[in-house]
Amino acid sequence: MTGRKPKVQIIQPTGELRKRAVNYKKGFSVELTSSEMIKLEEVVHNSRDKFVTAVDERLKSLRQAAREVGDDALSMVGFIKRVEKDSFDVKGLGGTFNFPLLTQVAKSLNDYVRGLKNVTKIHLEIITLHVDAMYVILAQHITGQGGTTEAEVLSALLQATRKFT
Amino acid sequence: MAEKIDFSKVRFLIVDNNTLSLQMLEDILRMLGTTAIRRATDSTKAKAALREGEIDIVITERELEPESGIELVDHIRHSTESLDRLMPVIMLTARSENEYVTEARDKGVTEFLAKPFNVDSLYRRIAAVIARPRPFINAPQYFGPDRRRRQQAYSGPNRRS
Repeated sequence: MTGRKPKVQIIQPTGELRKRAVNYKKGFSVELTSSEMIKLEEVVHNSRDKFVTAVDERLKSLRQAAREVGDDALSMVGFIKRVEKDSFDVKGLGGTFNFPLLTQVAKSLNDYVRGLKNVTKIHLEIITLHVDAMYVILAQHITGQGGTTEAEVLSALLQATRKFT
Repeated sequence: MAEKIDFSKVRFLIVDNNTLSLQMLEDILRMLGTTAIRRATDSTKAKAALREGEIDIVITERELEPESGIELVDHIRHSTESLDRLMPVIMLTARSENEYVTEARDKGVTEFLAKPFNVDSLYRRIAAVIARPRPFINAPQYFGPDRRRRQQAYSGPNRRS
């Protein structure tokens, strides 16, 4: 057998986009300056209220749905799908708006519901506890990692998800 | 003199089914000076936008319907419909565990950024794909940007051929 190596082609970039956009006069520096950074951070800061309002509405609606969800499989599947989507969205944005604890609780909930089958009342309880925790974090504007109590709540939620899978 | 990026010359497609995330991304790009921004909330709309062309950079979430962001990347890199197989793709996703990072890299994603993100990290990735484009590798098992980030000079004895 000759055992020829398969051919690998290296394609050099055309640099067309670079030629079009990179210059020395206009735009944002390739390496951001501190004043440019402040401008961009302001955009995030200005979106923060929108984020808080949107998540607040979603959590209220999720609480309501948890109370109303029926025992039938179809309604449960729909509810779990909704929890999965909402928790994923909150997980992805919380930290950007300086709510890392919110992201952690949402991650715990998202990981939990992704593997969930045959949902029982105890599962619903754990989901509701997560939703309540997120609601409190948002309502009390707990930014950063929070304190000892918040760490204990998060730890308890994680333990519950491990225990009741 | 420091290099700058004129974002009015760069056209983006941003894809995310979280409208809040999409809006924030659009606001950041507008602050940078971008005017050509197309939005899509699912993979079908994203593919339709790609078919229309005039897009330089795609920023996409991994979790999309009906097909995932990974399948969208596969479409860009491999489909005969693709107008630019070398298009830079930044995956901005809350699905950021190691297995997903590896999967994205092996499917030809140019840059990966985990949500929640900060603007500095996002900007660095956008600036990198514009100002420091990487070569592409066309191999039997892989088509995408060179996955070796560091070009290390070899200083040992003679290299084997």
